[in-house]
Amino acid sequence: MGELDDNQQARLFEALLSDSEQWHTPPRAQARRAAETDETVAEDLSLIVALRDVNPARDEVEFARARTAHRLAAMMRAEPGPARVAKRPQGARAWLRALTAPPATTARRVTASPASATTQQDGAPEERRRISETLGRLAMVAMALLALGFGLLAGASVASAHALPESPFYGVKRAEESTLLALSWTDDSKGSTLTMIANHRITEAGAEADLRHSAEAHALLAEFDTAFAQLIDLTAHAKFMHEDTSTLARAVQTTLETEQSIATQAEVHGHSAFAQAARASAQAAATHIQQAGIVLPDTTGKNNGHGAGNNGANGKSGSNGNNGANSNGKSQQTPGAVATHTPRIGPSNTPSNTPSMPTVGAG
Amino acid sequence: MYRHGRAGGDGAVIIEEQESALVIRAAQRDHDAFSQLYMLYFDRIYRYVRLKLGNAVDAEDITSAVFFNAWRTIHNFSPQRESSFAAWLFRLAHNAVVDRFRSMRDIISLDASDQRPSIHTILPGPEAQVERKMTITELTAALGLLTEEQREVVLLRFVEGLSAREVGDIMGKHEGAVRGMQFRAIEALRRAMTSRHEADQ
Repeated sequence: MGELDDNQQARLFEALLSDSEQWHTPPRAQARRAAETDETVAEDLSLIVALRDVNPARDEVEFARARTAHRLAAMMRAEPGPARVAKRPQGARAWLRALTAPPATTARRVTASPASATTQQDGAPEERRRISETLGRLAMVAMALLALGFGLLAGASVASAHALPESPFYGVKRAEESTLLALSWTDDSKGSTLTMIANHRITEAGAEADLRHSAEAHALLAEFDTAFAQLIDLTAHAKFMHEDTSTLARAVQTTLETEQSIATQAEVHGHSAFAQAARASAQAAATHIQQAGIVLPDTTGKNNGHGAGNNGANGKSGSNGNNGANSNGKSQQTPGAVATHTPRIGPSNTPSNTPSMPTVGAG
Repeated sequence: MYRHGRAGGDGAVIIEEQESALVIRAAQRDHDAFSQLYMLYFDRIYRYVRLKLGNAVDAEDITSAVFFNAWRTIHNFSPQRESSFAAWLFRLAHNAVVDRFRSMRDIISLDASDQRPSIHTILPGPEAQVERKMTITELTAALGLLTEEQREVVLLRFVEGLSAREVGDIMGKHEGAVRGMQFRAIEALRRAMTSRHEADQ
């Protein structure tokens, strides 16, 4: 191994570093190359590799991200917005929504609160597609980040996805949920996050029941009820505001089915008390859905000629969906209830591209 | 290169065009787009601020302020003027940290001649092995023995993986100057670690 003077070392270091950047070669490999020429430069490159591990603890980052997300969301909601927005509709909430809406479109930002002021009617399918794509990308980015992260963070993220309350990663899981909820700005994104949270709770409840942790299972079931109720209320509000509720309705349907499935599993496994509680919860949710006037998608398959083909790429699914809904009273939880009709653009406008598309009633 | 200038690690690399689209939408007050940028960059900004300030509470405060400032001023971001969005964001973080240091009553000297580490030890998670923990301890303590410029180059160039041009934009220096500084900075860091190791023995 030769010894270089300072200038030569600097040039070798720069060359190997640039080479690494240009060809995406890991610094560790470059360090091995450098070792053939100069030990000092090799040590410098090895040090760069070690610097990659300088990270705060995983849970510290997750909790900080969640808390910061909440704080940031509050600041963003309170901010009056840029001066170039001229018109202010009546009501504080509507005013804030108007300011925060993209100026080039008529897209709405509707809060989950039924007390929200009236909003602009969004009849632009392009905007809804964009919002749904945003939801999809946000979910993908969030999951990619959660799944990969940096160094030590990656393993913890993957581990936290299925963590139970006893797990050291459970706090991370909850922090991640909190972060996503704080950053959910549209009804669809909030619905997707609530669906995820509800799914987490009911799955955890079932797992705790299997472990014969009865108290924990029932506590998690209660948390599931809360999240599911929020999802149902969100869907009802969107329906009230004449928004496209197809994605939310599908989420409600999926969540209800998941709960019923967990209840069935609990029954099979002999956890009768928990199974009974889960079934009662599902029944209560179904009643809530019915009282809210939410039309759930038809998943029986019989009328899904319109369902599956409902959302072909041509987007001309509205009439089929309407017909399907009108003649498909049996698939509706609320006979006579009318859901919002929205011509579908195609499967790409939903974050979870389920093959069976919802039956959307006439608006 | 190891996540050069990109957030999220190798598997979550967002191509520049996608990030540009997010920035454009965020500049139009699209909350969802800015939320995505937040998710992309939070870990990196928080780590940078955390390493500079040395405690989690201040790091959270500063990081919140950085992203809120970014939200308020993102319409001023111009890809023609800036080397990258990452550089622009890190410059906001850099300035926020500088402002915090100035406002602190009990200012810790950032000059290496003071011989007081300005970065507290960051303990790894419980899954870290003993050798790794010791290495991280040495690294973070050694960073405190560098000059402010050297520490900045090390953090931005090697910990955060920004390019020399991006680091130059953040620090207000030419790219060539950064390339010259980076070797001396890493040399200084290595010597600091070696001296600490010898002192500990």
